[in-house]
Amino acid sequence: MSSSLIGTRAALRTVIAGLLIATPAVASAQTPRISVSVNGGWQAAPDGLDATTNLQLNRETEEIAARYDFKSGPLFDIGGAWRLTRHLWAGVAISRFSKPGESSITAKLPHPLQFNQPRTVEGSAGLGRRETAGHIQALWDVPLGEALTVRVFGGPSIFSLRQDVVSDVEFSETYPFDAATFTRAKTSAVTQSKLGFNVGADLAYYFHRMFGVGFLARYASASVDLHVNTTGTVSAKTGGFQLGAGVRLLF
Amino acid sequence: MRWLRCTLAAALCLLAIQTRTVAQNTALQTPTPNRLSIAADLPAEISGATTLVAQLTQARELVVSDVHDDTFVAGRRFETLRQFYRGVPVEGGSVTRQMAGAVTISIFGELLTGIDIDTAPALLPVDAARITERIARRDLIAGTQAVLLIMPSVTGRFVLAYRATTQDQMTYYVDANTGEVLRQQSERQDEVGVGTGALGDQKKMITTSAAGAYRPVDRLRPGTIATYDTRGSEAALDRILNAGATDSDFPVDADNIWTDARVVDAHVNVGYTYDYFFKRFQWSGGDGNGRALFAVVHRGLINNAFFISPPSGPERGGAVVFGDTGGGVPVTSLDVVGHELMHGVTDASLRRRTGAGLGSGLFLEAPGTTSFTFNGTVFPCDTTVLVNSITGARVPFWCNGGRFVTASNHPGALNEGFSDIFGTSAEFFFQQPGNGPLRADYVEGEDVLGFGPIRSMNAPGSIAIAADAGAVPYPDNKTRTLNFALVIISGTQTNPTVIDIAPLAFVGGTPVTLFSRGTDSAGVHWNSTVISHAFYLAIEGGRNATSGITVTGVGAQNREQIERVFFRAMTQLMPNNPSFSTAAALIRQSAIDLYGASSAVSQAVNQALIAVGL
Repeated sequence: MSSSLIGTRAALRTVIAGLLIATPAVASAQTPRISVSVNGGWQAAPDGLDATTNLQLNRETEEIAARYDFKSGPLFDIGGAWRLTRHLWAGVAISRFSKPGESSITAKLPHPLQFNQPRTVEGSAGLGRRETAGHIQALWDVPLGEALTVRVFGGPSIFSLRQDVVSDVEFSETYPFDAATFTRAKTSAVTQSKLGFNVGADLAYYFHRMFGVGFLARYASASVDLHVNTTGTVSAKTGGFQLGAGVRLLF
Repeated sequence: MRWLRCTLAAALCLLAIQTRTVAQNTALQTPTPNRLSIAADLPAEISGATTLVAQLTQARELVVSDVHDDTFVAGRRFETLRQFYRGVPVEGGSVTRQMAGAVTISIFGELLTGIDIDTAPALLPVDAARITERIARRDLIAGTQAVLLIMPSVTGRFVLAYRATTQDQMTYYVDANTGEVLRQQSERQDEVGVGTGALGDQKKMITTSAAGAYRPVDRLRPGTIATYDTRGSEAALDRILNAGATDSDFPVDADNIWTDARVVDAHVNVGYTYDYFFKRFQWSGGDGNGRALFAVVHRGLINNAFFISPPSGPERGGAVVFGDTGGGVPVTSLDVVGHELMHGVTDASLRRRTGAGLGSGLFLEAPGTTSFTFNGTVFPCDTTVLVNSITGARVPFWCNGGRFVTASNHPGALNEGFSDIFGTSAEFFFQQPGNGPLRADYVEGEDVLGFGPIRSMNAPGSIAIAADAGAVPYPDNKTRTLNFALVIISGTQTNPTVIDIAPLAFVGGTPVTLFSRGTDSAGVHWNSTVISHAFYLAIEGGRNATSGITVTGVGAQNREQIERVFFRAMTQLMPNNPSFSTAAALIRQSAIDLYGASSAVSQAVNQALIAVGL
């Protein structure tokens, strides 16, 4: 049993090695059925958002307003497609974007001694953000020459957004408590998923029948309802313009 | 107390069969399992308790943790012993022994019994600290670490645990074997409650939680504010003011939502006044340095409120006492509370500087007429005697050249006037100017329905003082003050050695009426409106109705300047027994010191004092 298995793996390695040596740089009569792409890249900064959290403090409502600003950052993307017809492919890709953002916070802290005398404190906090998206794609293959191919694609995307949100602020105060000083923000991570879409193009140059390099441009987006407090949600736009470059494989 | 003594007896019985550990089985008499209360203040009890403590000390189950001298009773000393079990402290177990030399006066304490657990923890202190910091998301207080102890529960169970306190003043108890967080509690005892005042206004109540309920004890401010309730008992009032208050004198509320308006208004308005004095003048608490303030609501006091100076009052720290109107409305409006607390400020500042409070001395006034007429009968000074209706004593009037000698109580009137000034100022500090409920104005006590307004600073004469025959308006000028005839208790007309105030009032030498119900200590409240009217004129400006002099005030937006002038005059410059003229001089000086002689403030103050005849 075990010797038989070793024999099979050895045979496969031989076949692949033979293909690499014998196949010319242009596509052969054997039409590839599967393509794989792996990209590293960059995603544009997601849209910022404003969120307000209301808590109870000193028998009144504590209002925490936070402006979330995000930055562009690195993107990792991997995808595969299966040829349906000569030009039409069905594919799936997964992209991941992770980049901490910054939140500027303004909190109105109820006075411990009197009603309607809030103290305003301001501060900031770094907030983690991670977007993971699964893109289901229909791809249309347009050969531009012997080795150059462009694919246009589009389809639905499922986004999962994990976002740190400001849940409370810590502050220091001393009598007579007419002013307070921001100490730090308490944050918690919330995760939410939402269906969106993606469109884009992939330009690939194959220097080998199976191997090539490519450039990806995609726009993918969804609006996720983030629960930033117990009483409400805020709509957070996820995704954005994505650029990537990497290897292309055909099988 | 009785059951506590019984438990001690039980403990001593148990000692006979076990001396190594504290009594194992006291369930018969202890209300909480495995808990032994010691209350020994009688010789037999002390003897038994002393034996118990000695044996436990020898067994290293009680260890001396503190010894200090009594700060109130000379020669007394307190020795506190903490309970340990196999070298691990037992949370809540301690005994305090009061000694007079070598003699034990009392022993009180709580001990935990029936402990039988392994004292070797599976976790290290650093592990417990990490668990605590992870749960709390805060570091431990700098320089502290998790402390191993034996933690009792009300069920009688014991757990080996670590206790650690984080920087947000939360204390965590972590099971020393499993790492489970057993309990967490806030070290901040202050709670923000809410209460409804007499006018239906909601306000925040700073309270303290204790024994499953809330008490009006505010430790959020630098000086504690505690409010007691006599529940109408004169005996309770007497005890609170003279022997000290107990926990049972606190009103309590289960949900920290207070509805007893007298407690709410007294407690909150004392706090507001505290804030006013602190923010305006950096005067903190009862003595300027954070001394506690004690308020007592006493529904047996009708249409009145008063301040009583230290050493009377809880913790010998003075107190303000607030009554009700005859209709049951608490006399606890902000201006009334501010008025009473200003008496405290006056008293404390004078005592700090002079060793005594503001005096209550008589100053001779313009001589009266040679006679007065009452109900159609003429009473000449030389031949009229005053008969005490209770004792029957007959005393002559003091006459000079056949004219009534008259006097009034200047320090007392200044004391009351300054209290009205700062009660009103506290009102302006927190309320919007205007008329009606919860609006700042220059009348006193107007927010107490069925009680005020009792005095007016802007138009003193608009309110009258009830007298035997008709009424007399409050004075707006020194020439309109009520001066009282004097009677000679002992001595002669030329050399009276003891005099007293007669209920015969003069204004400007003319007899106006009799006040058979009392002379208000020679007009301390009645004549207070002279100085408080000057304060009003210095701020708002206007014309004095008696002198006709018009004053240019500094304006309401600059009221703080005038408040500072008057506050400084009282707390820094005022002597013990000032006359009106002395007070006026030092008020002028205060303005000059603060703002310069040619300043608008000094001019307003000077004009105002001149306008009221000072």
